[in-house]
Amino acid sequence: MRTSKLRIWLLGAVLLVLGTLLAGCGSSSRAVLTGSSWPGFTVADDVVYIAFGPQVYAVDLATTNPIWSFPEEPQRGQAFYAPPAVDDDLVVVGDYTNMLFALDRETGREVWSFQSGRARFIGGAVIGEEYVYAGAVDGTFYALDRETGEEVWSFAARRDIWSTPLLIGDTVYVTSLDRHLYALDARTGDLRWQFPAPGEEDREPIMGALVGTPTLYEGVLYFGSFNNHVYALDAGTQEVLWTFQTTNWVWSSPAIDEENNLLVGGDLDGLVFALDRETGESVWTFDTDGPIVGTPALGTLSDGTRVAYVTSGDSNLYMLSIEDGTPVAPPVSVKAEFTTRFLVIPTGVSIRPVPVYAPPVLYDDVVLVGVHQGESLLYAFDRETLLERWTFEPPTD
Amino acid sequence: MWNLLILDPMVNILIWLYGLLGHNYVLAILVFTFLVRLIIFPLTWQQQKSMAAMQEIQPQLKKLQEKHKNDPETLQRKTMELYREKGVNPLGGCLPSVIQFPILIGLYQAITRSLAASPVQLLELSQHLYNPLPAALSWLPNATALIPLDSRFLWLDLAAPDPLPVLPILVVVTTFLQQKLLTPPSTDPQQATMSRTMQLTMPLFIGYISLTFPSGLSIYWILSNIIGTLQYVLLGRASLKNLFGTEDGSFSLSGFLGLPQAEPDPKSRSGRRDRK
Repeated sequence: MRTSKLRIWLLGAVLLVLGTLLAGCGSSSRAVLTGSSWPGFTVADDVVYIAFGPQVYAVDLATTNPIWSFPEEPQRGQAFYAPPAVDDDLVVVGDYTNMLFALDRETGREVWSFQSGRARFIGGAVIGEEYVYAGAVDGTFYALDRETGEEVWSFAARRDIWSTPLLIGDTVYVTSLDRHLYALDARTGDLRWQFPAPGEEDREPIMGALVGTPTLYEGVLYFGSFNNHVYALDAGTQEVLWTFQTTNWVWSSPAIDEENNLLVGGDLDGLVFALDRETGESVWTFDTDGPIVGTPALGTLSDGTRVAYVTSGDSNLYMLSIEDGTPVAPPVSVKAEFTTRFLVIPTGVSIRPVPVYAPPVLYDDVVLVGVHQGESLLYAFDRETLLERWTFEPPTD
Repeated sequence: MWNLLILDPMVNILIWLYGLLGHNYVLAILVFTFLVRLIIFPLTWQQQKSMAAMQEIQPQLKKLQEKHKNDPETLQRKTMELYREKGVNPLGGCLPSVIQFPILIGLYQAITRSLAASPVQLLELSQHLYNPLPAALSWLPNATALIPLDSRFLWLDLAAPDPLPVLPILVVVTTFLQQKLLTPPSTDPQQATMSRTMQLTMPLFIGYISLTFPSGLSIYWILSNIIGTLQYVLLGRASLKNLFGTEDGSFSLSGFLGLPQAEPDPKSRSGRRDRK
């Protein structure tokens, strides 16, 4: 009988441990969301604002020291991944607990906050002269009073909005997972047009979900879709000027190189492509071994060579010649440090390559790269040589 | 290899079903669960047969254990002889479970992957889809054109845990009922106690983890329990005697709940209290 009771207790203990472990792996609105996206970061005036996990950090790029973090103490269940919107006074960032915060840019103190019904903010916000614009995952797109955070108008898309809107003049462009690009009146929220237009949703190629921010250049909107196509759309007439077929989904919009009149982008098969901006014809392609998620960053080296910096899920940062797509320097593998543990007890450190999904950002003489795994959030590589210069690791108490 | 053979086909089939069934994810899970149950039916059938055979020889095994309790070698030899004689494979109950396990894990992963609700999850999903679709399969819905799946159902976001504890409660109830219906009472009092404990703790354990899992997974679990129970009822394997823990299948609340009974009567073959 004693043996039987012992077995029962042992069984109970095993189930409890298993339950705790499995619950930890589950998709609760708390635990799961850590690392469910990559860091969103924005550079403004020698400061980088990074949203990742439970906090938003303002980091001095000259010293790599944190200036402030919000909230000061991480709150249970809170998770930030949207790239912060920054203007002269405010930093606006949404989180996974359905809140949008406006913070004082100097101090990180909360100026106002806004709660969207039951939907979290995955995409970034944009700050206009009077309003702040942001979309939530229930498909509601909000315009909020810049000073108070009160809702001015809202627009309902049919599915999630994961992208940062594009505000040009009095039009705000919004993409949605409902397979539409919307052009809204920035003051009233009235729908000016949508693409595909009503009744044209079945036109080939059938539009896929849209998660990237479109790029507007000389009256043409460029964007990629989950239907394996890049589009050039006349913003005035909504006429499709050309499409380019890729081999997999296109997550983000291509970057525009004015000098060579090219668009440079990538797809989730790891294909990097440069297209003629006028015709959409492929000028060159380059294969990587992981999905290309972020828009490439374009820059010029000291010898005048125009290059595209491309991050890939294969963990590499590539520097490619914009003219012909050849690597200008060997790619650098982004390697992260991990604390190895036995259950919860730290046992050592391991270093291994990590996928890079966040878009590269150029600042001064470095390329900034954000990762969602490992101890460090941000890596800075020399723009000319791709040698690692510094990393930023969030402070721990 | 895992992705190629198990996960990728399951993810794509699940999404195709979603496309073919009017973009209803719950319906897709239902049909998918049914299909998986159908595929693993030979295994579960074998398992049930083996369990029943083992149950039938329990009295003889017990006699052998009593007779040779001081001679383990003879006991083992006689036991094996009995197994041979009755055509029972002692591993017959475990092996099908072991083979089913990866299929069920794949099913779990397919459901959670296809309900991608965050950028990293959606990115991972994109790597499991057949894109572009091979020409021979062009009649199927294009999985990439169906993404993202509509994860709303009644009050639920199928990619998130149930905000009301309705599904976890249903998970507990259906798991408990299925176990009760399928598990015959043991002749060994010690085994009976273990079995009773399992019948209570297992549903509670699964109910507890379903509090934190996507509700789509809870729906799968509930549907799987219902389909499993119906399958056994149709095959005549489920029994009210098991459900109520009584000899004649009559209602007994304490038997139903598997509450501890009075000290077993050594004369009683089943080890349960004699009914007056």
